[in-house]
Amino acid sequence: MRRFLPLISLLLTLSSCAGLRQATPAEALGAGDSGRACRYTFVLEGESFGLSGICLVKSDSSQFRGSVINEFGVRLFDFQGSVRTGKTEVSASAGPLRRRAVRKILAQDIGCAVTGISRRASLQSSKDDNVLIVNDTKYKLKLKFGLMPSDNQ
Amino acid sequence: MKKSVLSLLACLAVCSVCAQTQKEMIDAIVESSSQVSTMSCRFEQTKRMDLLDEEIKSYGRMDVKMPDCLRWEYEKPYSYLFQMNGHKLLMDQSGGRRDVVDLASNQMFQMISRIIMDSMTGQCLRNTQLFDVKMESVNGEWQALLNPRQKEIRSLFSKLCIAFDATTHTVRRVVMFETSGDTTLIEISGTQLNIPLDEKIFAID
Repeated sequence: MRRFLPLISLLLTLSSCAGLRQATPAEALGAGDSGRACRYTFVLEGESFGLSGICLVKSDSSQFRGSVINEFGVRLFDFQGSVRTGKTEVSASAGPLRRRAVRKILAQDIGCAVTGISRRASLQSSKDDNVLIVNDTKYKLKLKFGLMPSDNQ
Repeated sequence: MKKSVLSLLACLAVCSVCAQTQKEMIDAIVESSSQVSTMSCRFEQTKRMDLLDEEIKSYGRMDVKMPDCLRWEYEKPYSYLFQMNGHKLLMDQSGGRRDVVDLASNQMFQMISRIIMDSMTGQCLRNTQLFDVKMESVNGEWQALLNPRQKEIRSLFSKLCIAFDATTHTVRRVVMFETSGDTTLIEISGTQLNIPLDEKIFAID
């Protein structure tokens, strides 16, 4: 029995991780794989700060990548990740977004938005009309992605 | 020896003329831009993005009321209004969705928007603490090359290029070279200066 304990604990760990998965593609951003980027208005609301811009996302069957630019077109940060696992990486060169801890949290939130896969129980996504909202209760963050009219028609 | 001294003196004279011309151009633009209280124009924005291998073209109009009111309205390919009044920012989609964000603590955004507003009006040439400015006259235009002096700005932009009408001293186009490799070109047309603009168009409620 003792011999199988590591295997049992591994199985338990895997099943608990599977419980966190909320693969709801209908609720996700649903970046099409038409080859062109889908555009969304982007708002990030924190307890004491806000960030806004336009989010562009491109994806194929396995990977997605995108950028958030501010309203003037200046790039704020990039992201890329796996469609299957939702694992996402964020890269940024300016401001507070350069901090590793900030990028890590943002990566989890963006991954949840794009793939619908939540890597934490405190991360939930919901969709209202053409606006996808990711609510990160642990870090008190709210991300809103509004599909832009030209991609909506 | 005599020849060398003469060559050196000639070089110094040429440099001195260049410096004087640069200074004159900067002074003329700074003088004109300091008299701007409002500005309205149309813009064509071309954004080249390396990561997505995309070029995005957008068209719209801009209204500015000094010191800190901006209305930036995209008309094509999508309708989207972006409006700043002090530290408040409004985003309004044509479908009726509106978001108001308080930017009081977002220094990065405030810095970007200040640089863009000052670039569009030409006022950034007078801020020598932020940029090292080089000017030249090319084909009837005055072109300014701005190299950021501050680390925070350098983390966003490697340089900015601004082309001015040599006669009116108004901005014709702005090219932003980002550290990420992206470039954004903003071409301006139909500029109107110091026309009355209704306060209501900048209101954020």
